[in-house]
Amino acid sequence: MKNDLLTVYSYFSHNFRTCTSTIVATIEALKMELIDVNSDEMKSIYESSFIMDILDVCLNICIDHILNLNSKASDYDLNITNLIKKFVEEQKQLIELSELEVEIPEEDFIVNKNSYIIKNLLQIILFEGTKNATHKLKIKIDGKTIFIQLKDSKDNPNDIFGIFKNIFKQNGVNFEYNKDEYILEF
Amino acid sequence: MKILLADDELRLRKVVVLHLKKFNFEVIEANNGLQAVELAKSNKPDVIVLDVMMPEMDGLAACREIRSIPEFSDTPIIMLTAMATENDIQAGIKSGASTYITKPFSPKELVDKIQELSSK
Repeated sequence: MKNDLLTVYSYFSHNFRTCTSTIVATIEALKMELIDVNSDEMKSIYESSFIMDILDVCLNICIDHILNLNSKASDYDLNITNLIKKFVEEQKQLIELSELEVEIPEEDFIVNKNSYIIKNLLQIILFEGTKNATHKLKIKIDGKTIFIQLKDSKDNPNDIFGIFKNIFKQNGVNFEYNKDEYILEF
Repeated sequence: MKILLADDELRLRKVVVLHLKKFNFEVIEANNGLQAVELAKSNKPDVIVLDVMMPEMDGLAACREIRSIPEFSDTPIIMLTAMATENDIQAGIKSGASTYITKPFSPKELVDKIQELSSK
């Protein structure tokens, strides 16, 4: 339990601090008139806030899991197809890639159990994918499986991924990962 | 003055570069520790700013590597990082860093630190 809590502290502290720094530095740049409200850099504020929101929920999910507290799982129709499309659209600036490929079938992929946990953890996995792929990121839905393929990836945060894997498992999703690919089987 | 800035967080790096350029610093950017070492060798920066958690080679290893090169033995190296515990700070200083700034930080704090260290 102690190691898991330290892993959670390290991962979330790092990401919260980085997002906060981005927001602070961007607002300072605005204050100093290095950018204006219409500059591309302003998107950083919105994107970092969006990620902090997801981090906040996932931190809570991880703590509940580690301390065996009542899960905030709730069941509702979660449209995975739309979630992925929206995430990619909102995080475009983060994606430092020469190529992004999204291969999603036309029909909606709906999950209706433990949707709150799945929605937020899936977004964190997508966030890591967009951060870690340096040349190409491919997101593909095939049946009830999501493939997130990374070309020339940086290092995965394997310790926190281990905790996410356990939470996914408790919620009926198999999460496998390696340097080149994350796979979520529903 | 030439600054080498190594941070794999693209959004943060881009906006920090804007601040540094405002103070007329020439900025060389690296997105991992390995690239930072290579760019240090080829560009001979006056001050080096390293994030700790970076892919390929982390900031601590990059700092040790750069410090082992005789011409960088006195070059100011600032660790700019989200790793904020006392142990993290000690590890940074042990690796040869001149000083340590923890995220979140104000860009002015970084500029002041660069100016202070480079004037010594």
